[in-house]
Amino acid sequence: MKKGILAKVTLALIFAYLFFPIVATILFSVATRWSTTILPEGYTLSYYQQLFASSEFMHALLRTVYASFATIILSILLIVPSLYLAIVYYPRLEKLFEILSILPFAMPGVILAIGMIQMYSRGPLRIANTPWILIGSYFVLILPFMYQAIKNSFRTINVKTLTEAALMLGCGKLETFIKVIFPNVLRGVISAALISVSVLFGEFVLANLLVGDNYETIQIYLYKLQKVDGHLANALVAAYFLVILFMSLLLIWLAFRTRKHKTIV
Amino acid sequence: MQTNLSTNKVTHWGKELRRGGVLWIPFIPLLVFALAFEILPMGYIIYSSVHTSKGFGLEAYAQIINSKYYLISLRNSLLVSIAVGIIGLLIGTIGALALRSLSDAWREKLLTLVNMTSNFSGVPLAFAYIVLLGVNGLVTVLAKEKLGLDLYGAGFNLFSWTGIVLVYIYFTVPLAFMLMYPAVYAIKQDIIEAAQIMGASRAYFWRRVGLPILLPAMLGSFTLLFANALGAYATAYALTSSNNSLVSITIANLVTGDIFPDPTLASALAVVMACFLSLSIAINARLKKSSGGMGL
Repeated sequence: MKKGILAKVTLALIFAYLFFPIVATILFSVATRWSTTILPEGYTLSYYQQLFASSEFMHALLRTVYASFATIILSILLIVPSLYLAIVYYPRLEKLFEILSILPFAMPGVILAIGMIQMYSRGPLRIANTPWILIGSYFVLILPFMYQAIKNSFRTINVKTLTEAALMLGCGKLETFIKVIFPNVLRGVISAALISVSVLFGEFVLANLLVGDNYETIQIYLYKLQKVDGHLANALVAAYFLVILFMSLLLIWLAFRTRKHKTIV
Repeated sequence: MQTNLSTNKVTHWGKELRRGGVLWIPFIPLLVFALAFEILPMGYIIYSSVHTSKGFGLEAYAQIINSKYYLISLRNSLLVSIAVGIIGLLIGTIGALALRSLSDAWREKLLTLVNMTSNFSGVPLAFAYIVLLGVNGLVTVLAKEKLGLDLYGAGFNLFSWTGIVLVYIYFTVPLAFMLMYPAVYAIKQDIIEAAQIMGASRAYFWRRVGLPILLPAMLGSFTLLFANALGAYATAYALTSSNNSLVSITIANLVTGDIFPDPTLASALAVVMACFLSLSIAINARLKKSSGGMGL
């Protein structure tokens, strides 16, 4: 039994290490004064009020929401149909998706950004410093997550058999995709979208290098805010983490529903 | 031989496309976007790195090799990534091993928590650490007041290498945990019992059975953690925006910097960095292929 206790103490230490900065950030965001005591001396929500009352914050948040949602909808439109066709009709083309989703590992944000800045600052397509270049780069950034999640949901519904069954029953190819396949993978697509939202809301490199002040996203706003008002910036970090927490819970709930759904069927 | 193989592949793809009729149309927009924002930018960096004001040449690469400054930034990045990869991997592996002592339900709950903390990186993470361990951070002040421990007096500085390594380890641990968990899970209780019945002590079991099982997965996970740390930019930028001795920050400064913008040199450095990243990804792919274990 000694082993069990040792393992639990180790786990407790690691989790304390991982959650200490998060708990401290959240506590600090509602603290009136907190300097030489173990816990804050008083609590307040005024930092959040100040933050949400700021129009700069709201605009930055909206810009991030627009760019993220545009990218995610675009990615779904581009990836879902083609990946479906690849799996069902052109198995060899799946290799293409694998290559496209492994490349970002060899060229992280910094490298991608400096390639794109140089390419799109001149020439026919001058989209550097506009939201368009950001959407393009975000598409590449979330591609691996999108591909993995959507591929998995195609696998779980056994998409090939389902297609064959629908076709045999007299359903057209387009009708099969829209009425049979898509509703069945919708949950997987939603989880892919949620994962992408958490990635894109935390994205700083591409936004900072590609658009900077011309399209101030929430992370760029946060970076600037820290220099002006540390406590307000901290409230934003706490809010950001609470959003991630909410997303994670939503994802777990979705996964749980899928599992329950499967056992019923 | 190599070309022969690839032409075969191409004609095979062609055959599949012809057979499918118009079903290949959805691939066109996907390819256009992938080309425009992924493949062409990559090609452009290589092109730009050999395209100097005087024509084509390898001057930028020569400049990197002959410059102490760029070599040091590369060395710094590699050292930090290796150190962070090893420490993160050790903590993550120990955590994953410890997780085996829990029931299934608890294990799943804790894994989701770990997964959640893996989202905590970049600028928000750097700022959380500034609140805690900055010059007037909560922990810094508390340690001084209550324990009489002057962290900054003892040589600690969040805005230096110690800080960067500390924060990098934080975002590496959850990843290492998630990467090592499946491999650790493969060491089932019955293997341990079988070894014990045959007279192996616990230490002997781990030395001769447990560790050899884990080693390929550890190496594979290390390559990913290393690549992740090497490519990181936001965390270090938020901590030490003026200190540009990491290669990712040096590259960005060379393109956006107001003082000496030099896209050719930035591209050359990016190519060098991409080579290191590709190498570690290739090792990972090879390990995955040979062991069927951890990979991307």
